[in-house]
Order: sequence, then C-alpha cells, then structure tokens
Amino acid sequence: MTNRTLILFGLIFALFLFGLATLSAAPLAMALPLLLYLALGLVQRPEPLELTAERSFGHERARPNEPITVRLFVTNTGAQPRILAIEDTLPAGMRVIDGDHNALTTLAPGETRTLEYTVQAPRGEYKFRAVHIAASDPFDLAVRHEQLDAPGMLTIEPDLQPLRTIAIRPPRTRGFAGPIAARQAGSGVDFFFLREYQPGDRQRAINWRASARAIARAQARADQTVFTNLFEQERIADVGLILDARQQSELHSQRGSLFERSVQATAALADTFLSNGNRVSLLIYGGGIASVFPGYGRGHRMRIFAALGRATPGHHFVFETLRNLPTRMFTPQSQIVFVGPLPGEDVDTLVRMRARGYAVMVVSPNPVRFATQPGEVSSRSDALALRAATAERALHLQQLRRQGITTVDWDVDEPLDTVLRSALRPSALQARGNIGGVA
Amino acid sequence: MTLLRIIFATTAAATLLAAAALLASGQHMAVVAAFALGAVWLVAWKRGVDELLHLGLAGMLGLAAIGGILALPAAAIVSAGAALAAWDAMRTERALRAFTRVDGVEQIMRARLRRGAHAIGGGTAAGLAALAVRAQAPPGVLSFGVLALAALITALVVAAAIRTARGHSPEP
Repeated sequence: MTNRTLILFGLIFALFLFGLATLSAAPLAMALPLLLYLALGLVQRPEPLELTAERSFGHERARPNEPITVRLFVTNTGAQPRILAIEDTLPAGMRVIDGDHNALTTLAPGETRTLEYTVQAPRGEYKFRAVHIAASDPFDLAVRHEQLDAPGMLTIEPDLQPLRTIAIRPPRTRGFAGPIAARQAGSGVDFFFLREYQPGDRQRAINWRASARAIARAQARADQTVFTNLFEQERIADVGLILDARQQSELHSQRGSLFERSVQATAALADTFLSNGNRVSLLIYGGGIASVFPGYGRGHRMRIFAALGRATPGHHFVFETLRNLPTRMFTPQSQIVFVGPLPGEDVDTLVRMRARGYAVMVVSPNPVRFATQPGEVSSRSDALALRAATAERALHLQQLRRQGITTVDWDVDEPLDTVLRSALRPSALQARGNIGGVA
Repeated sequence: MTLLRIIFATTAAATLLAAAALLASGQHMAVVAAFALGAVWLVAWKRGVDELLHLGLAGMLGLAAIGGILALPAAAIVSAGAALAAWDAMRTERALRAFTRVDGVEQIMRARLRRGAHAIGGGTAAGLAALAVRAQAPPGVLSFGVLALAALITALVVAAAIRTARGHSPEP
C-alpha cells in the first residue's frame, strides 16, 4: 500500500466522519469520486510480473574513465501488456555520462525494450546485480516492486604506463630461452668467458686475438692453445610481484591516492615482464591475501590486471607487517619485486628474503614527496619534520641497498619509466654499491 | 502540454467551485482561503513539494465540504472531483519527470487520462445523482442513516466482488 493510497483512505474517512458529525449528505457524496478512484486503482493493481532481463557490455574490461556502453534488455514474457518503471541499479562509484539507466515504458506481450547508457568509473571491479522494476495500477495506488536478476561484471583495469625492458638478474632462471641472463654458458649474445677450444666448437666462436696471444706465448713455453668465446645463455625468469595493499600504505593528498600509483606501477611491471616472456605471479598483501599464481602470456596478463582492478587497501591484524608474507608462493631464487611506500618495519623482512636467495627489487613510491605540496612547508617545525621523514626514508633505502636489494625511489610526479631507467643503470647501481639482483 | 493544461484547468476549476460554494454561504474569508490554497498548491507542484501536494488536495476537499454543507452541495461535489483530477494530473506529471526516458508517452498519457476520467467523472456523477435522488425522495425514505447504511453495504458488496474477480477465496 502506497502513501497515496493511505492519503486517499484518510480523506474518505475524514469526509465520512465530517458528514456523520454534521448529519449532512454532501460530504458523503463528495467522498464518492475518491471512492471510485481508489476502487478502480485497486481493482487494476498489477498481477505478478512475467519478465526477463539480460545485460551486455560494450567491453567487459576497460581503463579508468573510459566510456563503456551498457545495454539492458527487458522482455515481457507474460500475456498482459505492461506499463513499467525500469531502473537499473548502478554499482557504487560508477556514473552515467550518456543515455538512460531508468525509463518509464510500455511493454506489449513478447516485446523487448532496451536501455542503453554509457558509464565511466575509476579502477575497480563493478558487479551489476538486479534491475528494479515497478509496475502499478493506472493511478499509482498499488505498486508492485520486483527485482529482476541481470548479473554482469565490469572490471576497470589500472592505467598502464608502458615501460621499456627492465634488466633483472635473478640467481635462477627457467629452461626456456628468454631475455634474462642465465649465468650459464650457451647460446646468447653477451660475452661470458673464454675457454680452450674443444672439438665441435664453431669456428666463428674462436677468439683469434686471444688465441694469437696464446700462440705467441706458446712459442716460448712450448704450449699451443686456441680459445673459444663463450656466450651467456638468455632465458626467462620467474618474477613475483608483491603489491603492498595495507591500509597504512595508503595515503591521500591533492595528487590523489598513493595506493593507485602503486597499483599502476605493479600493472606496468607485470605487463613488461610478461611481454618479455617471463613467468609472473602476483601477491596483493593487505586486508587479506589475493594471489595470481605464476603464468605466462596474454591470458595471464588479463588475470593479473583483473586482480589489480579488484585491489583495494585494507587492514588485517595478521597482515599489519610483512612478517606473514607467504614466500613459499614464489619460486626459490627467483626475482621478487615489492611495490609499496616501504614503512620502516618492512626492511627486516625484505632483507630476510634477500638472505634466502631471492633477488629483491623494491619500487617505492615516495610518500614523503607525495604528501608534500611545493610551498606548503612554511613553518620551521614543518621543515624539520620533512627533513626527518626524508632522512628516515633515505636510511631505510640505504639499509636495503647494503644488503644487495635494488631500490627504486619513485617520485610519483615523474614517469615510472624514466625513474626506472635512471635507477637501474649499471653505473647508478655501482655508484650506490648495489648490484644485487640486477645486471 | 496537454497535461499542463489539464493541471491548470482542474486546479482553477476546483478553486473556483470551492470558492463559489463558500461565497454562496457568505464565507468571504473562506473564499480568500480557497484561492490562496489553489495558489499554494500550484507553487508546491512547480517546486516539487510532494507533501504540500497532498495537503492541497485535503485542504481543497475540506473547504469544498464546508461550502457544500453551508450552501451549495453540487458545487462542492464537482469541486471535489476537480481537485482529485488536479492532484492526479500533478502526480502524473511528477512521475513522468522522474524518468530520464519515457517510451510511449502518448500511450501512457492516454490510458491514464481515460481511466482518470472514468473514475473521477463517474464518481462525481454518482455523487450528484445521489444528491438529486435524495432531494426527490419523500422525507424519511432516504434519511441520512439509510444513505450511510446503503453506502456501507455497497462498499462490502463491491469489496467481495473485487476479491472474487481477482481469484481470492473468501476468508473463513
């Protein structure tokens, strides 16, 4: 029973009471139009609806704020024509930029009506569940509300910043050819070392210059040797990405969300490593643990991007620190890339991982610069606090580097590719005394 | 545009008829109140204040009832019908505006207006007929008590008919 029905009942009752109180027939007669109106509405109240609903998307994966077309098909499978109010319930965070997600429409038996609209949304996973349908009598006095199942899921993947090849050098590689130097002699392009010629070596591999020097020395020492160049094998590697999704790693400023930058960095790294043929796994560590087991190729890339699309910062007492990181998920002596702002208590765990034989790289969006606006630090105390935070962070990074962990201190205002290129240059690594895990 | 015209015409008719009924009884202040109520009602509809829309209907019916009892029952009944029609048209307009898209608007409007005319026109005619029959009847035959009893019995019969038509079994 709707509000309007109650109002009409109230008015009719009031007119009857008024007529009885004054012993006048006029108020009773005045109630007749209201009575007939109410009776006709209630007689024609809608029967149970026989409808079906389906939903389709222009594409089920998209980038943040990319327009996506949603089509909703509602079909009348009953025998009665209907006047229906259709409202598609949008998941939170999504907004309609064009078209209609609600409509008042007539629907003849067997007829299908299509609602088409365009939405935009930030990164995330959006589940459409049901369509709200309201059918009423001609006067909206008795309304029947129903929820029609029309499930659908839309994944908004993180923005992708393309990266050039990242040089990594984990202690162990896999058996297939790839771009990672394998620390083993074999077919490759990079010189590895020289050894004495053995039958079967290709003539093109003979290092004539070294051999000539040896022959010159041999005349004096009655020894004669020919040397062959050996090259370093290049193979694919196991790369484990760890995204820090703990609540304490999230930070909001006028630049947006720091976690979003971490997600973007993880997506870019996953895309690059997979493009190079590596086997990549993902672990999202925060309110819980979400993981994508190691795999290759485009399908696996979609799985990783879907997981990153769902990632949200969260809190769990068990995962407050990295101590409970399930390192067994990662292949021994593989490459681990940790992406997060690096709170001080994480340093020990990362060092421990390095000690266990993993090649560890830390890509850390700089939270101090992220939270500080240019010109915002005006007071002396603010300036001191900024210096202390910067020094503390530099200390943590230095502790990691001393243990052979590659660190990339990322000022999020700069493109990640530029920062990575600059931080992973061999000369930069040597200057920082850091060659662990990176060629 | 049709709907807007209906809203203005029915609101004006309800106001004028209620005012006429009150004027006939010499209630000049009530006439002013009727016009004020009509104006407030239209403003409430324009501004989208649903509560005032419902109160407008109640107020207009109340004023018309007073006028009817005091002097002009026929005008009061027609005023009640016009007020109900105005209220219905305003709600229809509000309902249509709530949707960003309306398919088959002509069809929806036609069905609504036709059924509204049937219900409200029929009810008004029935009210006027009841008054006329009562006026013609010898004193005592159609007394107030007899009318009230007839109305009650009719209401029960109609309710039972509705339940039967809709396939509900009578309650034990």
